[in-house]
Amino acid sequence: MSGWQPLLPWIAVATIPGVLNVSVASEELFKKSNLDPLSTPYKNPGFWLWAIVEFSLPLALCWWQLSLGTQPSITWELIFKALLAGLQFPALLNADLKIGGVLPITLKSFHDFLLDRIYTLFNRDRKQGDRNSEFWRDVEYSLRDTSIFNSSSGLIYLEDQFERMERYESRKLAISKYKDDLASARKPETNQSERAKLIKKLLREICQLQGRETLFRTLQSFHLKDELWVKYQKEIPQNFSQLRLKAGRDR
Amino acid sequence: MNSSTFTFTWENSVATILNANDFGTTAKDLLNRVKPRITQTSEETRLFLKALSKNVAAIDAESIRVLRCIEQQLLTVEDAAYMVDLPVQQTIHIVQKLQNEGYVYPQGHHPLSKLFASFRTTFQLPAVTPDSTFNLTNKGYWHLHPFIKPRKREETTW
Repeated sequence: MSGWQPLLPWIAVATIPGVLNVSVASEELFKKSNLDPLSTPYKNPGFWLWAIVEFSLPLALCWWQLSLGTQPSITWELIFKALLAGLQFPALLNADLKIGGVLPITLKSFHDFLLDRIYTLFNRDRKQGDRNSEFWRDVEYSLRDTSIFNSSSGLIYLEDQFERMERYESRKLAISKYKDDLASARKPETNQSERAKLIKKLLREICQLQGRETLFRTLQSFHLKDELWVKYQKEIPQNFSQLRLKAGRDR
Repeated sequence: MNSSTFTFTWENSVATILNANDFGTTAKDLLNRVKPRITQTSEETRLFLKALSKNVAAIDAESIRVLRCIEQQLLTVEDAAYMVDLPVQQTIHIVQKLQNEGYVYPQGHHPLSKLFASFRTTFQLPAVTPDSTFNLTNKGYWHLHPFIKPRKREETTW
């Protein structure tokens, strides 16, 4: 046997579980990154390093499990087995095991731990984390500059969002206090900085529960100054930017 | 302390707590110490201990809530205070305590960077300000998501 080229068809079989696992794991990662308004995990070298690990681990496991090194004949059965091996890897990582009721081990927390650490290291601890903090600060400052009349439509939109969440999702615990906050944000005697802080808190909750797209849509209804949208033009998806709406209206 | 000469009254425990730098931790230590000998104390001391343990549990719950907030989003201490509806000063105190116990670290100060900084003689994390942001350490993560889920313990009755 010379080199690895003759093994190529078997390597191709073993990539099936790798691809499956990467798709499962990256979906989890993107779901997590959705909670931060501006972060893009795939722009980090760390993300790609992590993807290689997630890809090669189930690949190696499948290679060993099906003993592909011995070059068995490639049948539909073998491919089906490889698919099963690909399913079993993420299933095991996400499992809650109870061994005889004595040792309730949660493997999921271990998998989430790795994801969480990687995410924190590369997206929250570095430049992207700073950018996110900056974004929230700028949102607060531009909310401070918006008068109560301009922000009233935004407040109505926020209330609608929260009511919808309360109706359709059983997250009542997390959003129990929004009515008080909205009421005090609407009072004319609340000063501007306090109002900005309250609205920012509600926006953060929206982002945490519904993701960044709902956040941008809500921000649009607050009629903030264009400076915010110009500053984050590159990061905010075009179809959520207020600038695009304005351009359409002028035409 | 010998069990035969064990004299625990609520007056002297109040004195201990008030003289301490960190009220919460002292109260917790005190409760743990008295727990096995609860039968030897008087009725009113028992009542006092019950109230004290309730308050200690409330402090713990607050710090857990702050920790959850920090885990889910990158926020400044001031924002975290708004999210959990606590005064900013109290939140600063809670975060400072969490940092001292190693549950959180300031953003950009990953524990590995401590390794490089340890060559310098005076290495200290910056003090917690309303504008600083925090991330969970490994310890903090496992505190929120235990690997082995403990079975529900029975309520401690005083």
